[in-house]
Amino acid sequence: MTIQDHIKESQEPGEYAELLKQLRTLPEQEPSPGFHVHTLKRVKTAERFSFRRPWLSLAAGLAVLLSAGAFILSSHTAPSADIQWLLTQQEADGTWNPSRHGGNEQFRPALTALSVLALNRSSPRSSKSIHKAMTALGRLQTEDGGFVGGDPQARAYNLAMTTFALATCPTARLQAKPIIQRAVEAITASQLANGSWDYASTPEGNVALTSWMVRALKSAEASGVETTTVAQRKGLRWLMRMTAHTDGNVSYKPATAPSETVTALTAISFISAGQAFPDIQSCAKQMTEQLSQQNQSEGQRDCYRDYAKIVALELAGKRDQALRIRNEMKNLLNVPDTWRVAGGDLYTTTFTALCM
Amino acid sequence: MALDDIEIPVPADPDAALMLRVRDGDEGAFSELVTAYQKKVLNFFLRLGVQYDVEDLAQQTFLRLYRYRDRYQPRAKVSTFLFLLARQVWIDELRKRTRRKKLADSLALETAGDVVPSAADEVASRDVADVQKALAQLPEAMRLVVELGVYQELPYSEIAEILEIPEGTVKSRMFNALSQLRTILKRE
Repeated sequence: MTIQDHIKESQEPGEYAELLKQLRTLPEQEPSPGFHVHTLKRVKTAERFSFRRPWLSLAAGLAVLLSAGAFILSSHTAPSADIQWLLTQQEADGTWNPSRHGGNEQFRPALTALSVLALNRSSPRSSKSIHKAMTALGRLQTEDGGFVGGDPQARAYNLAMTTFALATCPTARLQAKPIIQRAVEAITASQLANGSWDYASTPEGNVALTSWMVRALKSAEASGVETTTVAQRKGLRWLMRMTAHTDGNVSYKPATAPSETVTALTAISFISAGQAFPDIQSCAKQMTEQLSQQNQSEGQRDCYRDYAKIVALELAGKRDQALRIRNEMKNLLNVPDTWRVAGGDLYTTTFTALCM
Repeated sequence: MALDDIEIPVPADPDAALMLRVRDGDEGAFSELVTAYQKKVLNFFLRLGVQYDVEDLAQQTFLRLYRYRDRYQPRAKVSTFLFLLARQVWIDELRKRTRRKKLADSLALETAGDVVPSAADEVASRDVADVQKALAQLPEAMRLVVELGVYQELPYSEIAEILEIPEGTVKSRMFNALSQLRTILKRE
């Protein structure tokens, strides 16, 4: 039986035939010109990489661990002073609250997740704290997979940082898998048509946020959470476009001043992406060359910038330059940090702990 | 006797030979199948309410077709096999997404774009939007039956195989879906 036979059987065949005609007025869409080629390519890639070369998955996982700083930041047998301090600052509900340390309450999910990442270094003594924080983060997750945060900027930041931190923290990621899965959905849903992500309400794409989102997706993928590679590739392609006409110094937005932090974040995304696109590694190399030539900003403490630079330079094999930045950081520990207003001492302690 | 041993006669399917070649590793045959079904699969997802990532879902369907090529039995039509996979991709997607309502809402809000339409075009595009809105209001199970029966024009026996439900259920679901659509469209 077909729909036509069914309609003929009905009591009002004429009415239903009209309805069918009306339903079929819906126009059909043609696939995009590259659909056929891309489909065949995707099938070939999936066959080649997913099934026959399991060692490549392992290599990708190692790259993500490297990008998370897992190898850069060696484990401590006893908690350092900053980790000790973090342990004492955990709230009764399991979170870390930046507003109690001079920062903004809106970034509580991100700061909780980053604290977890920092605490992971002193495992197993921190495992209870991490477990408590995971439960708290589950409660802070909203229905759409994002995390609480007042304005869209805070929500986007919380989403990127929390997903990244949870997916790269070995102690956390098993317990956090459902949280990460939902967060990945939110990341994919918030991607703009051009492949980027942005904080603004009139979005055009923000290079730093896009780098973090790509990094979060990559980490989630390596942690065993199902992700779509399309979102990652679209994000990377947009980042490639943004860096195409630069000398290796990248800015937050087109026509704005270059930033070392953004250059480092983009380089990390590119290095972790392997050979996702031709020339992506030569772009990364150019960026890390620029970073290694730049001197530290005079007397200004910026642990976020330093963290990004250390990770990028370590990934590029420039260990001496990374060590130089670490040493300079130690000399500036008593200087107020650029980002203190957002995350307070909690933020600076967490990032400093991740750098040392 | 195992179920696999039972031969069920089905009408000759010209694509079955192609699929058998795919099973034997013929990439050219797979390319032909993608060409033949890409538009159908794409519109399958579009009419289910997907607005973005639609090509990704269509690609995932073809990826599964290739991955499960060894499981294809020529007793089933290729279209049945393909839409069964598309349905599985859709179910997985729904599980992953918490934005079903958002999709339906955005579908309803879709406009004709920047071009100022003629009066006739305006009427036509309004009709299209009405149909889209009406489809979006159907429960998921009914929408799938309408998609496969009305748009893909598959026989009920095939729809039953794809949705893994009895043929009688396909018939009753279709009847209920058409009744609801009629009511909604009359109201618009």
